[in-house]
Amino acid sequence: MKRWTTKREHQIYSSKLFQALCRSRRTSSSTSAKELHQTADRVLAITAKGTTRWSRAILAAPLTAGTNMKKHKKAKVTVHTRLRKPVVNREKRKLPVVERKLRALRRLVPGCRKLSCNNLLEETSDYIAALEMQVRAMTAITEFLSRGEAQAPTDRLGSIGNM
Amino acid sequence: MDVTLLDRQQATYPLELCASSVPLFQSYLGSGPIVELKRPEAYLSGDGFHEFVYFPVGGGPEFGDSEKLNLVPPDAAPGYCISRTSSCQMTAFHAAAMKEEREDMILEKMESTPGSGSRESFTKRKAEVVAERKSKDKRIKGELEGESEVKTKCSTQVSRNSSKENSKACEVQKPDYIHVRARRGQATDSHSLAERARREKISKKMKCLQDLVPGCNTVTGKAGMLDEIINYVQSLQRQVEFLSMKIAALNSSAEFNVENLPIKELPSYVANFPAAAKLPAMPNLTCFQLNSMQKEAVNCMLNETMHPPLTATEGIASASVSIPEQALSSSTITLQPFSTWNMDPQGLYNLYNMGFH
Repeated sequence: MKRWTTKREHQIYSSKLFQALCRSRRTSSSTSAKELHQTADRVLAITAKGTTRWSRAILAAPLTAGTNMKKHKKAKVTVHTRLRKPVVNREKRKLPVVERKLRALRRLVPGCRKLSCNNLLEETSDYIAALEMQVRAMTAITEFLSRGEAQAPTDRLGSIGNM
Repeated sequence: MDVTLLDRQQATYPLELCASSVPLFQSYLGSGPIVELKRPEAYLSGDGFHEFVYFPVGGGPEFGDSEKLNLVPPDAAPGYCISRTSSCQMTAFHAAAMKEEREDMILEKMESTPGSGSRESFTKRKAEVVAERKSKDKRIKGELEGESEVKTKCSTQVSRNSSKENSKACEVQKPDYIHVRARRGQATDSHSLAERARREKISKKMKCLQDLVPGCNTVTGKAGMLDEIINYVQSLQRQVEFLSMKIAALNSSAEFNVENLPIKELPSYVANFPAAAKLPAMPNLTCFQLNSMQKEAVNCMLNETMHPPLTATEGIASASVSIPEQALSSSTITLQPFSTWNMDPQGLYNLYNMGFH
């Protein structure tokens, strides 16, 4: 967890991401946001060095798996059941409140679908720290790129903020 | 800190406490946790003491929150020694100070090996019964349970009794189990003890998460905390998605002037980026107000751009983050550079909360 807050890690990640970016620029003409997102996630997972479950899950997932999301089979509540015994069912459904939230959390963190509560919380904390670092790095990159772009056609853009 | 007890099955090694380190040791133990070790000399006759020199200590470093006990090896031999055994047995020493700390827990050690004369005194004790039951369970359950037992099982000490018992407990053999009395008013059932240990682990991790997630200091309880955590993770993921869209846009629009942007510059951006400081909620309001004023400017900008992926949300978010000083008149897409970059993930998270919830 602490490793995600160090500057060193930040630099490592940003530089790797930037390199991946340049590579993708060269190879394909257009970088879709989705590809970029995936690349960023994979670089993040690589930076994690495979110690956490979510990182391994990200790396193990095939490349274009984003669209293959299976929709969860939610319990369909038809009108009949609702009319029959509203109170009892609601109560029963809402009893394991914490469980439902844990389920939601499991869906969010990659690769943690069948994890126990204990390990899930651990993975979540590491995942949160990693995501924060990812956001920081990506904002730095956007700033970097936008500055670079601003510098080039400076005459057209006029004076742009205080960069 | 974790002792794999099975590894140390055979090895008992002495940790020697010097007299001066006992208070140190106790200070490590603090108020909450469990063990209080005292010099056995207080209630041992001196001559027999050296026989009792080695007796097992269990889970020493586990006391408190994973604090490592730096037990200084003593210079004096006749100090008392505490040695570790595979099964993490503890010997609690009792001394007068215990009276002050009635609430403090001590771990008692009992021996499993029969044969010593003093064993008979043990059999009469209640704890023995409990202990034997536990020993059967715990042996099977493994060392982790044992360690958690060390942490969680404490006995409210009965001062004088335990002193005598401890003196007899000091016989050194290779004890196998931790025999502990449960806390006052709590079940001694092995199941409930294990559950308690599990619950404590979970609460510890929730506290860690509480530090990570901003703005959840007000919330108590698992459900609220989990809500906050879920929201935060979702917002972070959204931010990443949004940023990736942005970068993709920048990528496609920017000319391939990679050489103009030396990668050496990148570290400077990276370095300037502030560490994750948690912004207070107040700035959100100002940003939000600015947002409404700037919506016009944003719309102008959006209309002029030719780039489809700039959605309204993206525009709003970017506007709220940056303060554009003038609407761009260029026809190519330019995302506003961040003039003031003091936002960080948590700040953006708060913003998102305003914007999307």
